[in-house]
This record gives sequence, C-alpha cells and structure tokens, in this order.
Amino acid sequence: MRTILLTHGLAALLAFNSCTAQAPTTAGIKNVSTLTLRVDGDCPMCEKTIEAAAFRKGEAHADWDVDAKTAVITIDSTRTTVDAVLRRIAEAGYDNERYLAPDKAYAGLPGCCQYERGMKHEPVKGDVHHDHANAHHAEAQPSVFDKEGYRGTPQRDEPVEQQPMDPVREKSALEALFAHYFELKDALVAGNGDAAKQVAATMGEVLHRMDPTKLTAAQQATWEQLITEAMPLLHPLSETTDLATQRKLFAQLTAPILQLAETTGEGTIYLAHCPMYEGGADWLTRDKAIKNPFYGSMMLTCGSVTRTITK
Amino acid sequence: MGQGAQGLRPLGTSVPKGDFTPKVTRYELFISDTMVNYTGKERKAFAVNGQIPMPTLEFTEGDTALIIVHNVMEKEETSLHWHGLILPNEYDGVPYLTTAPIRAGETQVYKFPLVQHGTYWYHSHTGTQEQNGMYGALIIHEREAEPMPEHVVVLSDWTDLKPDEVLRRLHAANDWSAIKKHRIRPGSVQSYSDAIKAGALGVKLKNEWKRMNAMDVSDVYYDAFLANGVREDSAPGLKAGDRVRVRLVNGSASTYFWINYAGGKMDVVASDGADVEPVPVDRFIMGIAETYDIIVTIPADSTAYELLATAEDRTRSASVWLGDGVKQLAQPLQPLKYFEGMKMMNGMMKMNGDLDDMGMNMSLQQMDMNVVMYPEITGPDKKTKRMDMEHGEHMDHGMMYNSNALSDIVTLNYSMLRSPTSTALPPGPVTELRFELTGNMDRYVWAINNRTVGETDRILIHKGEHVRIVMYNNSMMRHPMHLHGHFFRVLNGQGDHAPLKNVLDIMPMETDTMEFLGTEEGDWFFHCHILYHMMSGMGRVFSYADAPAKPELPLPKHAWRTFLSEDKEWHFMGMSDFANNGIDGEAMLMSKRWTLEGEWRLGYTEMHGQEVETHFGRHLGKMQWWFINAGIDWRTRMHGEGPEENLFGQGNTKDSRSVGHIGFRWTLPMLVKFDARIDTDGRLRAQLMREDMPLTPHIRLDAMVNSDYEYMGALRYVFDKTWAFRTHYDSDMGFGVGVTVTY
Repeated sequence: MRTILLTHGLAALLAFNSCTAQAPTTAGIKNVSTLTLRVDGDCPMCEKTIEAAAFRKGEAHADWDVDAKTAVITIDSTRTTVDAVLRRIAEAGYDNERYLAPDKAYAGLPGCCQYERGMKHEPVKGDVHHDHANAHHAEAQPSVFDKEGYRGTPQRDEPVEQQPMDPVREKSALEALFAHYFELKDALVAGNGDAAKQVAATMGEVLHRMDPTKLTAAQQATWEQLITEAMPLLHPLSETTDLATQRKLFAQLTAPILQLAETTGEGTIYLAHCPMYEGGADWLTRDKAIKNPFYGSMMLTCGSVTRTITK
Repeated sequence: MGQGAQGLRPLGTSVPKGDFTPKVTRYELFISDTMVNYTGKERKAFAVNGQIPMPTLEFTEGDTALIIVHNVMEKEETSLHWHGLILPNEYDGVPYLTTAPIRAGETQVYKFPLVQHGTYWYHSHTGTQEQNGMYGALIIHEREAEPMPEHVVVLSDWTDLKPDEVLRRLHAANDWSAIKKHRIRPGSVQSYSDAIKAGALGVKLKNEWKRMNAMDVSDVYYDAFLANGVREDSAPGLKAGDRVRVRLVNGSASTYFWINYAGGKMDVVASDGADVEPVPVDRFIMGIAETYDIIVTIPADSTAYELLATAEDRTRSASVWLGDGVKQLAQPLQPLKYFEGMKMMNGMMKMNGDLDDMGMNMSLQQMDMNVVMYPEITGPDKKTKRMDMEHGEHMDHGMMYNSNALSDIVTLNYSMLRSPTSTALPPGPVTELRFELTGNMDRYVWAINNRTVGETDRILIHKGEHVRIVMYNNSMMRHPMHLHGHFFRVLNGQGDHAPLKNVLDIMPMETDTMEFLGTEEGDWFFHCHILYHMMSGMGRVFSYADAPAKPELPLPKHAWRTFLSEDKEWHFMGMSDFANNGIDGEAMLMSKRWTLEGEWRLGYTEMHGQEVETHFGRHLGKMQWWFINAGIDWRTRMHGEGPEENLFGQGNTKDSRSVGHIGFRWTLPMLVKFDARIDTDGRLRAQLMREDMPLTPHIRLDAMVNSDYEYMGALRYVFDKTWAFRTHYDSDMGFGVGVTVTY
C-alpha cells in the first residue's frame, strides 16, 4: 500500500511540474491538463503503439520517452480523463502506473516490444487457500470434461504423452525428445503458453532420465550437448506460461536440437529463419510451410526456409 | 406452499444446517420517482430508499422475510416481484395476476418464510419500470456456510430514451439504435456501404432476399452499462490469496453480459440461486435475469483485478475492481464481425422464415452460432479460422460452432452445470408441453406457438404433476425464459443431478427440455425476461387447478383483463416530410395483429392538390408478411396531365377520387412490398415499394412504382431520431427538398 501512495505522490508532483512546462506544445487540445506518468516499454516501435493508442483528435495526446519510460499525457479535461487514456495504453499492451495490460495484449506484442513487466506484482504461491482452490479444480474437472458432448481444449486438457523410460530403448528416448520439440514449436505457434510449459517439462524429464551408457558414441556426444545446452533452457521454459519468455528460450533451443536432428532425425526436416526476432532466430519444422513460433498469429508467415536436412 | 397437499417438497428448497431460532428480518422500502444523471442528461427514474439499484436485501435461510413496501409516488402504481423465490402466490408480485398493484400512496406488506438459499433479486413487474431503476439483489445466506469474503454485483443497462419510447420505436422497426451503436462500433447498421467495405455485399443482398432486416445480437442501444449503479464498481480490502464469492445478478432489461476476470479462472458455484458443482471457466454469458455465483482468487497484493461485464453487442462494458492498487485489466472483447453473423443467418434461414439447424440438434448453449462473430474464438478476420476449418478433417459440422473446441478459452454452457444433490422428481403424472418460440423483428411481435400471452388462455396444471416443457427457438434472437415461483430441472445429460434454474437462455434453433414439479397454488407467469419481448407478447400463465380465490384481487375477470391489457396496447408512430413542393407523410396505430394507417400528400397549389389514404387491416402469418386491409382513398387536384389510362386499361381518376378499397400487401424478397387493391369503382391498382433501404449508416433510399404510372424516389439523410434531410422526385409533385420529422 505504501508503494502505491508513493507513486501517486510522485505522479502528482510530476503533474505539477509538467503543467507549466508542457502546456504550450499541445495545439488542438483545449482545456489542457497534462500529467507525466510511468509507462513501460522497450523500443521505438513501442513508442508508436503507445502514442497511437492514446491519441484522440482534439481530445488526448501522449508523448512517450523511451529512455525515461514515461509518457506526457495531455488531455482536454472537459472531454476525457487521464484514466481513459491510460486504459487504452494498457489495452494496447503497455503497463503503466494505473493500469496493467491484459496478459493476452502483452503476449501479442512483437518480440522487441516485450519489456520487463516491472510493475506487475508477483502472484503469491503456496498459499493455503490457493492450494485448496487448485485441489478443488482437480476434483471438479473430471465431471465436466469426461462428459459426452462436451469437448474441452485439446492442447490443454489432454495429458502430454509420457514416453516409457525403458533403459534398452534410449535411442527412442532421443527420438521422443525430438518429437517433443515439434510439439513445443506448435504450442508457441498457437500461442499456447500452458501447453508449451507442459511439453518443456516432459522434455526435461525425458532428458533427465536418459542413461548415456546405453548410447552409441555419436549419440553420447549429442546427449552431452543436450544436457549442457538444452537442459538450462528447458528448466525455465517449464517454469513459466509467459509466451515472451518461452519464445526467447526456444530461440536458443534450436541449436542443440539441430545437433540432435543430425544424429537421430528421420525423413526431411527444414531449418527456418526469422530475420526479425531478436536480430534473427532459427527454428526447425517438418512442414515446409512457414508457421512462425516467435510471433504466433501476429506474423505467422514471417520467415523462410534456409536449409533442408534429409536423413 | 412449502409442504403441498401431497407432501411434496418444492424443488430447490433447502434444509438449514444446525440448530437455530428462526427470526423475522424486516425491511422497509420506500418507492419514489427521482431524477438521475448517468450521461450528462437529467432523466426520470425510480428509486427505492433513494437509491439505484434498490438496496440489497439480506436474509438467512429458515428465517422469515417481512418486507413493507410504501409507494410514495404521486400518481404511478407499481409492484415488486421477488425473482426466483418459492413463496405463496399472493406475494409473487405480478400486478393483477397474483397480487394487487401498489397504488400511489399505498403500503403493501410481504411476509413469507425463506425456504431456500442463494442469490436472487427483486424488481418491478409493472410496465417498463424495471428499465428505469427498479431492480436490486436479494441474498439468502446459507446457514453455517464456509466464511468467505463476498461481493454482490447487480448489472444493469441504462438508456436516456424513455423505455416506452424504446418499445414504440421497436414496433416501428426504427433503426435509430443501430445508428447510435455505429458511432461506437462502425458497421453496426450493416448498411450497403458497410457491406461493401467488409467485402460482403453478396451476403447483404442474400440477407434482404430472405426478407431480413439488419440483424443484431441486441435490439436496444444503451447509453451506459452499470455495475451496482456505476460504470466502475470496486471491492477493496482483499489481499493476495483471498478467495472471494462474487454474487452476480443480471438486473438489466434487455442486455446479455459476457463476464471475464483478469485474475485467472472463475469457479462457477451457483446459477439462479441453486448450487452447482464448481466449474472452472474463463468466461460465461449471463442471460437477462440470470444470477451466477462465482469464486475467484486474488492472485497478488497491491493490484485490483478487473471483473469485466461486456454487453453482448460489445458497445460498452462495466467493471468491478476486486482488490486495491494498480488496475489489472481483463482482455476487452473486440467488435463483432457482423457480416459473418449475417452470412451464418443466411445459411440457416429458410425462405418461409423458419430456421434450419441443418441437423445439428442444438441445445444448452453448447453450439453458439454467434462464435462466427467472435474474433477471440474464430480469429480477427474472416480468413483465419475458416480456412483452418475447411481443411480440418476432424471437425464435424457442429464443431464449427463449439467455442470450447475452437479455442483454448473455456466458455461455460448449460451442459457443464451439475447439481451437487439429486434433483430427481418423485413419481407422478407427466404433462408434456411443446413451446415454439417465434417472433418477427419488423413488427416486433414475440410469441409462443405464434400466440401472444393476450391471445391465449391460462395453461391448467395440477399439484403433483411433472410439467415438462420442450422448447424450440424458431426465432432469430435468444430468449431468457423465466418461470415464477418454481425451480425447474434443465435436462442436460446430468441425469439425477440435472441443475436447477429459474431462467433458461435458449439460443436460436436450440431445443431445450426442462421440467418442474407442481407443488404450489395459484397463477405463475412464464415469460421471456427481455423486457421488450415480454411487453410484446412472449409469455404464458400456468394456473393450478382448484386454486383458492384471491382476496387481494376481488374481481378476478377484471384483474385478468387488466393483466393482459399490456399485451393489447396500441402503439403510435408517424413521420412527415415538409418540402418545398408539398407535405407528405404517414401515421400508424399498431397492435400485435392490426394496423390503422393514414398517408397524406398535401400540395401547396391547386395543381398539386391534396391526397389522403387510410387503411385498416390485419397482419397474417407468423412472420406477418401479409397485410389484408380495407380503406378510403380521397384526392383532388387540377393537374390534367399524365396518362389517361392505368396499366389495366382502366380510366384514370388521379384528379378527383373518393372511393373505398380493399386489398392486400405482401412483403416480397428484398423487403419489397407488393400492394394490390380494388376500389369501389372497380379499378385495380398494383404497386411495388421499398422503404428504408440503408445505403450508408445514415442514408436511406425509398422507391415506389405503380400501375397508375406513378413513381417516386427519395433519399433521406438521418440526423437523429427525429430529424432527417430528404430529397425526392415524385411523378405527381415533382422534385422536392425538405426535412422529415419522425415520431
């Protein structure tokens, strides 16, 4: 509560300062009222989105500063309110002092705009009530989803298939790992953070349980690379449902999996490249048609196949 | 009540837990009229104890309610209905049917035992008072319930128009509501220009070919949606990890609300007051008059989580903030894809006005045809999901409309509701009734089996009987059907655990079955809870055989007629154009089946002359596409020009006519009206006319041609609900420019 009071106090102070400083620059808006507030974002693209979301002709206008992470908001106080403007900015995906963006709006931002959500408070975990609630769900769900005629959400509700951990079939464990990679990619294409989280957890489990002594030398090299390079990515991937974080990790996962593809892959797979994401990122696909896992439905067909791997 | 003659326990009654001494909880309610200002305009409304919504009445099960209602208004009579409560018939509060009206200055006392628990509400059952503030929550707490923070939310809709005018305009098929919506959500008028922009001109043409006006998910434009009387309500004092029971009441007159929560899933734990096994969902729609109890979690401290209630037409929303601090928004609902909806309706509508479900056997909100209009389910534009589905081999036809299969958003539907206890009925005789819900938008007549409540008698039922109602919605709108004084079981595949409800939302083309147990006495209203549908005829009365006389209604026949008089009301509409070449216009007085109309064309010179026509007639058929009428046609002028004979070779009497006529008017595809008549001199006239063709959101085209070689074309620019600018060319009056006034 104290932090809230503090930020509000700060906002009021800033408002006082900026009223005198900013007033002359707001042509077209009458009954001017100006306020400077914190609005989070990352890049010049954010600036465009934030300012466009705020803008209403003759009514509201925002000037966002990428370095200070603040917006000077100018309104006609007889026609609108600062809250209305901040709400629009948040609906466009940008957290600010008074409103936090809907998670879906944030997840829909381009990769470069996915700023650190410093203003969002961490959900409490391990709370007694909360656990009770989850237990509650677990009980309630079967009655709902088992029922004839009702079809739930396939990605989310069907358990991820667990591969048997038979030590004599370590090679198939590598194959399973490989198959799960595509599931993970598909989950990210679909923008389904829950499914991606589950698949990543399964991959970590498969890798963890593998016995390297049962592998050939070439496979062992691959396994080592996976343990050192993929495992540190899979762990955080399985800890979050936040798509932006998942996609960043997934971009790094492609290199070790490519190694795996070269030792275990079957049939033809393709290496695809997205020039936009984080300065360029790769992914593997079994299907030549581009379905970009880094941006989901926003830029589904962005990217091109750069290599064909046949085995 | 309570224990009936056969010792039957009414469905939905509960046995309070623990030992307790029953007490009487007393409320005094003062109903007054007041002025309110929700939008910058002062408007008349009704308030109870000075507040809108009316105060939340809280009771505990097993106690007795004592509610003393004072009508302190000067003239108006009123009533209060306790929605969802099982109580003696004389306290049900339907004026002239079960209870005497509360006249100005009078006091009425309600006293009844509380035999159930849950979230209910109360509202006026007189005229359109409910639209203007007379709604409030009524909570009956369960004894020894798990302690938990609670918040009661009453949702409502507000219009700056007088509700009686809203109804009058609906009967006149006036599309001012759509123009108002267009200002917030472009495309709402679904005009020709909107269709061209959306690349859906063919869809629009086919729609009019099938004689449909622009369709919308709701008929009325609202200036505001309110939660507890404000646009943004709040429930502070909650901390991270808290589980909160939110008791939601949809107290609106004609608005369905989508409910979304910014802090995760919502557990639905009760519907219409009756407990259900918890169902976690991402969202649900609340029909008018439905109540839902949900339990939500507050995920983090210093954050207020938005519980967002969005009107089904997505023009506006109301918010409830749970917790304090920075406001975490829920994802707002994006505008409807109207032309996708229109395309879907085109596919379902047969040429005779019946709906064709293509063998999908729709029920219980499981398949929502409207998903084609929801961007969050079927993608932001028409290309995305549609393509996937055409290629998807696993999708059967019905899956196309199952929103839970199409997306990872879990939407509640009635098949997911399950009573925690058995609701199986004791053995008894079964009476099955089949109700086909019908209506037509053009004249705004809503009916069951093509009969309005005023056109039918009471349905006789008996104590101990199972009354099973199989409802089929053969109209284009959804209807929240409400039964007074009883819970019914919704047969939804849950067997003995069928959920109890007292409002059932039925979507177009759905067939739903519900049954209730005859445990009461007297007369119980069953009606669509969209206020304007109820006022337009959609209802029935169930009447128990051998009911005792009602001392509070000493003249039963007179009371019954007064009760039905609402259904038999006449509505007036009129418009007149004042132009440089003359004045022309029309006025109509309309009831459910009859219309008296007059048309006039008054020139300023002897050459243009004057002309007046009147018709009186009856509308036939479910869709009322036929209008059989008789009338008088009088005209005089000194024109002397024009063809001497009409198309049928009969002499022309355009300069002097004073005749009676009979004829019919038939609405053709493309909404063209074909009018044929024969007058008392034996002359025939045939005419084709199309009015109100929406070229753009604001521009309307009228055109007419007839066998007397008369023709007319006009363009109107609609400024507001009253004023329009009009230019026309008329074979008699020539070119004219003027203003049109619509009432």
